[in-house]
Amino acid sequence: MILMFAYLILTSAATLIVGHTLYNNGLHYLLMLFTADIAHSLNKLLLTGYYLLILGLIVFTGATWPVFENTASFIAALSTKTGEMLLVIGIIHAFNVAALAAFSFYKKQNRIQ
Amino acid sequence: MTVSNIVIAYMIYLPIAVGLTTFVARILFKQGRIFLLDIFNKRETIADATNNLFKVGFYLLNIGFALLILKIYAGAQTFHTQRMIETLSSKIGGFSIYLGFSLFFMLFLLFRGKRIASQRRQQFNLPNTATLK
Repeated sequence: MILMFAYLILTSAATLIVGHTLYNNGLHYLLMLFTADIAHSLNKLLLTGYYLLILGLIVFTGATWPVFENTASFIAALSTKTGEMLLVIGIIHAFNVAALAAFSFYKKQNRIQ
Repeated sequence: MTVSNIVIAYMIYLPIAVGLTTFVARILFKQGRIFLLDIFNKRETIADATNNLFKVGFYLLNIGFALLILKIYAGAQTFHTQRMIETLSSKIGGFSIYLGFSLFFMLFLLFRGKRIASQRRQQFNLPNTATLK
């Protein structure tokens, strides 16, 4: 029970911090690509989608736990699961950044031609 | 309840892994900002935004990997001090090699971006920012 709460708090905190950073810094990219009002609303939509995806994934994966007997296996289980979740968030984040870069690249090419 | 050697090993490994990641990330993103300013033609907002995005990804992937490889597969009875030192050394060593690879991957991205930006400046006859004061 404690394990599940610790996992939920750790990964949710990571999700909120990353979401906040993406929201603040991704806006500059979106402003480069779209007009200001579209960029702002798109930014909010993307943030909502991101939270839905990641928090859903956290709740989904946090349901099942291996059996643990002592403190060592408790820390190991918590750490392994949190690590997996952080890696998943990181990979999704990398895809997001790559998508932003690809969009701005094609936009730039179209403008030059 | 006595604290087993495995728990002590975890408590030694975790601060070292997180501290090492923070140390590398701080150096990398302090210096990487200069590269990004050159890549984005001295536009500070977009360079800082990219720097922050890269920073978050770097922390996530490295701390995630550090947590993932934490588990020590050994019985509590056989895990004496010598095995603890050996296991810790291989874990921290392996993690710092991984950290080195990801640092060089980031450097590769920065150099690639710099090369493409300077090619594009030449292609469209823009002033090279390296010569600007």
